[in-house]
Amino acid sequence: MVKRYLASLGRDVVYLPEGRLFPGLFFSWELRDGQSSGTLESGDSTIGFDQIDGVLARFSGIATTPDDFHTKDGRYLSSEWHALMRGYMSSLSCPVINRPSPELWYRRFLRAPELISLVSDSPFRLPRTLVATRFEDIQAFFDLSGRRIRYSPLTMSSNYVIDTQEDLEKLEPLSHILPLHLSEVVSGDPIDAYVVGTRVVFDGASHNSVAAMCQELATSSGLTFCHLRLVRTLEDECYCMSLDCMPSLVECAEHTRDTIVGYLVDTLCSGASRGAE
Amino acid sequence: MILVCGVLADAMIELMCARLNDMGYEYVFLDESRLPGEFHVNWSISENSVAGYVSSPSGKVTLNDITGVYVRYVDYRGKKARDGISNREEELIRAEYQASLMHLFDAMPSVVVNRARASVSNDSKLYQQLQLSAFGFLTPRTLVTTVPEQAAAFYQSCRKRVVYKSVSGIRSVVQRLEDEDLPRLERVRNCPTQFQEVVEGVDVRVHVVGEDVFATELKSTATDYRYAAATGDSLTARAIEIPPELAAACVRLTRSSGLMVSGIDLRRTSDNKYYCFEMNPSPGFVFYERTTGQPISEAVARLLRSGSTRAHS
Repeated sequence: MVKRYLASLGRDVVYLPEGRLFPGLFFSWELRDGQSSGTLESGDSTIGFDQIDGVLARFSGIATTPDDFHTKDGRYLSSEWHALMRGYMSSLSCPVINRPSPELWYRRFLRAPELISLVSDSPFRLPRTLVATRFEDIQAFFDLSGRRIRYSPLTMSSNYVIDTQEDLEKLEPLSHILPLHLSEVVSGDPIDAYVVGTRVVFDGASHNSVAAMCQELATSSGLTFCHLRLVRTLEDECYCMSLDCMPSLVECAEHTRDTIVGYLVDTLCSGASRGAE
Repeated sequence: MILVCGVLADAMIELMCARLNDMGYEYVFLDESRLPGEFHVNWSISENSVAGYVSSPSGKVTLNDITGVYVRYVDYRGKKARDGISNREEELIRAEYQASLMHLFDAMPSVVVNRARASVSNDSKLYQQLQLSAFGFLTPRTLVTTVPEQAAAFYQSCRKRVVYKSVSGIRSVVQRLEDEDLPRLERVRNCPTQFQEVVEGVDVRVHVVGEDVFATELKSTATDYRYAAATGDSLTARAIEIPPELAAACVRLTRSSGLMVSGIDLRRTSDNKYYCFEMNPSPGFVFYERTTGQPISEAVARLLRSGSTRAHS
């Protein structure tokens, strides 16, 4: 979508499909006396790094075909490519969406256990959360949380609502083999907010009173583009349930998606306009 | 109370437990090889703060009583799978355990040596190189390329004094590029490869522990002194002092990365310039301490007991 929009504006776009880069990508980067320079060849053109006005970076983590990734060489290549890109993204002076700090290199979808350390002074409340291996603690948490909680594996974005004693007891055998991450279900108005550069886009009704808080959280996380899933309670308290560092936009309304893509393009092009001023 | 987390087969864990015993500091050893089962780590977030406990066969410690955590993130290779659990399920279970401990230690307000979130910057040596330059360290001229001709030109431009090594955290033996390797440069088309101009000089390893700095000079006939024993090369080590401004820069770099302890690799040239290669966030200092007698583990133990997070930015 971003590529198509940029092309419609007459901008030159280089697309590097992560799974089909090698062999074939011509990339050379030199660091000397604190200075960075290099070139990238795409098709018939050679692009100097200083000609790049903006970068939209969305890494899957796999820089090979899926079959090759199962080989030792394929995994090594993926690891080297990502290490290179992390350094490279951080060296560029143009806008990069996103240029995550090291603490976010291996984290895409953040919930309370990650958010509490990432943003020490979060503008949002975080849901009450428990990570436990003792079933009696899990039972107590269930009771404390109004007998309605959510179980989410720490390493996956999926989650399961548990609101009956019968379902809760299914966690008992699991608690003997792995830690269980549980959070309270916060009742209220769900809000989907997307931060794009200096703008905040809501999917659905606007919630201008929380826009500045969304911006603050994105800024303190070092992200230009992210998706916040919020809940506003009847008491007008706002909870942050998750932060997605690489939003996919598949769940957005079409109008929201178009607005976000427009803002992404504005942000990517802001480097060129800044340079021309 | 100090919490030590890892496995005893790790020489660093063994050393730290022995040091804490020697110094009479109270600690709990959370043996990750006995997780799950004999240990429980339960923690919660409420009102945007963390609370919880660690229980072991010998008792229960609340997280609030812990002044410092010494953790080595465990590689579970070789651990036996349990009955009724497939290898894939076992991998997922271990990943959940790793994540639960990493998130907890990242969130705890006490001293943590070191937090996982602060420990990943050397997974990209190029990212680190930019960071080192920003802190005023000299860094070697470096090329990363997928173009054989560029690699060959770099080799010539550096008067054939070039090494190559991995870009990522995957450990590689630093190798010298020689004339006979040039035909193999075609292979860089398949994987971006890092080449660096050789900096001639003496290796210096600096361990930063909070505000304390321990510098060790290493002399070896090997290209990569870490592998001197394996390659039959000589290796000697001795404690030295480094210029105060360099020591201060090492402390600043460590602190700004959110680390409490680091191992920084420097090389001193014949004209007394110091080049910096990388900063290790989980330094194994057993060799340096045993060879030179520098009290590095004592300094770590004191830091853990102090609970002072001054070095945590």
